[in-house]
Amino acid sequence: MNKIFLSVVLFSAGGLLSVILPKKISKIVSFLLIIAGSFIILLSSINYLLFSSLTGESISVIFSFPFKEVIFKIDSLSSFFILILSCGFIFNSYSAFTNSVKKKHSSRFDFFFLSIFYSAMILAVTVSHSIIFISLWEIMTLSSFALIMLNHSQIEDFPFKINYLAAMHIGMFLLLGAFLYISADTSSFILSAPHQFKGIMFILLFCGFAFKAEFVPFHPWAPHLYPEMPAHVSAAFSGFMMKLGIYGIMRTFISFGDIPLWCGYAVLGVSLATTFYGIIFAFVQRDIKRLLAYSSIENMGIIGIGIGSGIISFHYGYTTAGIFSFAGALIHALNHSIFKPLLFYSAEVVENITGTRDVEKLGGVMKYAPVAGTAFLIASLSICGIPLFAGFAGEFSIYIGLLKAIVKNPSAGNVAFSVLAVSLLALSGAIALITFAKAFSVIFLGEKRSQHKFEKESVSSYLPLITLSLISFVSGIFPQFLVKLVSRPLLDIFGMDFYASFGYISQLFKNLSFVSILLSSAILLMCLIRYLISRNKIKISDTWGCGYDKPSSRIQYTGFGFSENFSSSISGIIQQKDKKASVSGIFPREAFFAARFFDIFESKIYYPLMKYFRHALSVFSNIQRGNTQIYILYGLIFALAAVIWIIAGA
Amino acid sequence: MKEIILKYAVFGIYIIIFPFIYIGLINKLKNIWCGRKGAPVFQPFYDFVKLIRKTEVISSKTTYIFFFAPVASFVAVIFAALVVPGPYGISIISFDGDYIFFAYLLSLSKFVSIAGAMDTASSFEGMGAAREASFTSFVEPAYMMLLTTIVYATGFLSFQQILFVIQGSTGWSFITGAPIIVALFIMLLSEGSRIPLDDPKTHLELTMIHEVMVLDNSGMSLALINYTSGLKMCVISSIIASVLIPQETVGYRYILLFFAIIAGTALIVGVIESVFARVKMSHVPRFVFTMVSVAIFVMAISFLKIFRGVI
Repeated sequence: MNKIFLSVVLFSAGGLLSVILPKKISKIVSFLLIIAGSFIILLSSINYLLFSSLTGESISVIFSFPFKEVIFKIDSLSSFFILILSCGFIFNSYSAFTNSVKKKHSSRFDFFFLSIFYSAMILAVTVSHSIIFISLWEIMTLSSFALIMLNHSQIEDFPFKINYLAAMHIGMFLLLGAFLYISADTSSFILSAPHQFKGIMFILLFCGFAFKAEFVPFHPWAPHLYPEMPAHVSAAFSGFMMKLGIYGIMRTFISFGDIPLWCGYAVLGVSLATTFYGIIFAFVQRDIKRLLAYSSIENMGIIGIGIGSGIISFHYGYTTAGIFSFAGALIHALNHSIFKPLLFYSAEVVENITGTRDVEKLGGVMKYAPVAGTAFLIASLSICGIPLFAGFAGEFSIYIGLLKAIVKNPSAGNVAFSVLAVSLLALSGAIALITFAKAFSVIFLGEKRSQHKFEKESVSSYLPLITLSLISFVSGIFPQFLVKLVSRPLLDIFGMDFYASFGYISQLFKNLSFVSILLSSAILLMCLIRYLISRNKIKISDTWGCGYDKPSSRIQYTGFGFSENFSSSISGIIQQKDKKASVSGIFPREAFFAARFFDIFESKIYYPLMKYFRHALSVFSNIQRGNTQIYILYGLIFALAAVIWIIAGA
Repeated sequence: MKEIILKYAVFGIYIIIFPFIYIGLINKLKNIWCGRKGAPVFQPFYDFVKLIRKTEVISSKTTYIFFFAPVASFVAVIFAALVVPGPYGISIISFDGDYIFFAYLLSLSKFVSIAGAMDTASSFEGMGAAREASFTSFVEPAYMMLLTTIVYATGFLSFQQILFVIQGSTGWSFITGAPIIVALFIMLLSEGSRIPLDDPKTHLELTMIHEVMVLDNSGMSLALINYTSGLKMCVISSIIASVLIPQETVGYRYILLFFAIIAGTALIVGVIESVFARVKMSHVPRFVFTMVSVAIFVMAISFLKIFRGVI
């Protein structure tokens, strides 16, 4: 626990020094301090998860008023999330550092707010006092908002940023309500105090955390926000800030102990909707970062499916199924925090060297940025859950969890639900495959589709790209280590029953690892053989152009063209609005075609709702006159009323 | 020891030779059907050897993705073949949930072939990739639904075990077996890009699906792609064979029956190609989607079996 405080001190020192020190050395100093702090907690959390025999470490800090005693406590679950966070911090601060070096006029407050943001997240997963938790949650929101505003450039995007702030606060108030309700029940602010389950508490907590985790329908703040942020902020949001929502849901489940069945089905249902919805909208986007934002929503849904089916299995007492589901959820959370930042960093490289995020204007970037391209390929394969890469282990484990639940409990409702879950998971996997195959090949392969001038990628971006690619490859080949990492939290959830199933689970993942090693070596060997055989028998020529001599790069398939086939078959869900002028007449004018896709929740629910609110709240605008005298009058009336009330009461 | 070596040898021969024979059989039957003599059944094998020895033409616009994509696809499908029970009724690789692994191996193969096609900067290949991607995207969920239902009915999680149980059950297997085979057959047609989804012999690029994806491949990469598509069909037919063969069959009878059923599916594909025209391009997703409905049908039957004991 002391190490956590040490790293928080290091973060804060880094943040402060970045403001105080002269500009030349401030960034490198604060970067090094943050890296040092991240490594300390990374190593200590790995040490705790793998080797430590302690059941939990806690430290209490005495505040005088009003909190009394505040306990900071590390248990296995918070340790696991600290692992996710610290792993992200290292590459994130590196990306922030290179970003700030590149830009001449970058603000020196970047690292200041970054360090506050990091410290708040680290403390939020360890604290067990609900009011302090809410405060840290709020600090996290505000510092991330400051990070967004530091890089604020376009005034049109301002509403989306305010949206973020509003959404986070709605979530925060839901959480606050839940915590106050719980503390009224238990008369203490300790988060893990034993208390009775009440449905309303669960709903409030789940909705509050779902805002952070971007579950549908609480997601609309995300997709507009991500594209406008620099890569390190969007990677921080998607890579680990969203995971705190998952942490909250897991913590809710653990603190309630056994929760009713409907909660499990509710989590599962919302997650299924999230998965499907997220990937469908990722599929039609043409902005890389917005695509990645929607795909984050999908991945949160996959994690949620694991949690939901885990809760159901836990309720029925199916240990093996429950362990597989929770393990899948946690493993996928860890893996997602590796490959999603990787996608964001390589998207940032693409944006830097081409000057655009629009998929339809890109193409052939692989020749300018081979490292970023390969990193994007590996991350895409990971996110599609292809064996050999990170991402498969988590999804596989969730599948097995669902299947074990089916085998154990062949009641009609459960089977129908689980089969639906399995097939929806498979369907979104299939759509994710097309989405990322499209994104990768339209951005990186072929020829460039516009007149933009592309530069070469810079060496400074290599470090996170190469390291994260290697991590996703290694964790794909050796999934049994991931299982070891999640075994402590699972042990704490399931108690002694865990040991009965653990042998089976680790054996299964060892088999998987063996097959993956075979597969990867076979692929490498065959590639080598192919290279050796056909190295000398190659003739370079142009792409076949159907008899035409000079093919233009504009005849290539665009991203929209690629997705049109499929998006027309799911046109019931996706709202598409076309704007076009077709060729007509003898001397035709210039023709064009534009298509836009609307988020249903946004256009059908949130905008009308907000319109209604604005209309309803406009009643109060009569009170708000902007005239100082009137405000003084209000104050006087209030004071008078208070005096009368007190006198009357006495 | 001798027996084990024999088993692996039979499996090896099956994997190496049968994909060629499979396509050769289809072509032979189609030729005989329209009154021609037709090329020998081994013709795809001769083509393979010829292609391997030829010089390869590679577009100047491509990257290493185009060069290595056919190899990755080839290895992925080979591993998929190892997971499925082979001529002895056993899989070379078997673990719980291996049928999920199988589905994702096919996804890997699809991903790299799409990337390889898009790498050439050709409008035709982009079109083919888009079609292949969107038409086959319903196959995977339907396959998962089907297999999950079978898992539910049998209680086991690996290919070898669930297929073994299906072979053993008597009354039930007749009623569920038929829809399962229909669904798998649709999967075979769509993964192998055959009529009625796609016509491998069409000569107009605009109407092609799979063939147009590989327009720029030649030499060794074309040889590998042809082999891979044959192997894919072989693998799915071997699932069909494992569903059909009764449990009592052992030894050389099993092997013979297995090969006979695979050859039978090839002939059925040939007959379908001879008597049917391909469906309209816009109706292809609908055809693939029938697999989902069949899977739901199988699930309904399994419910009946377990709850009512009807069957």
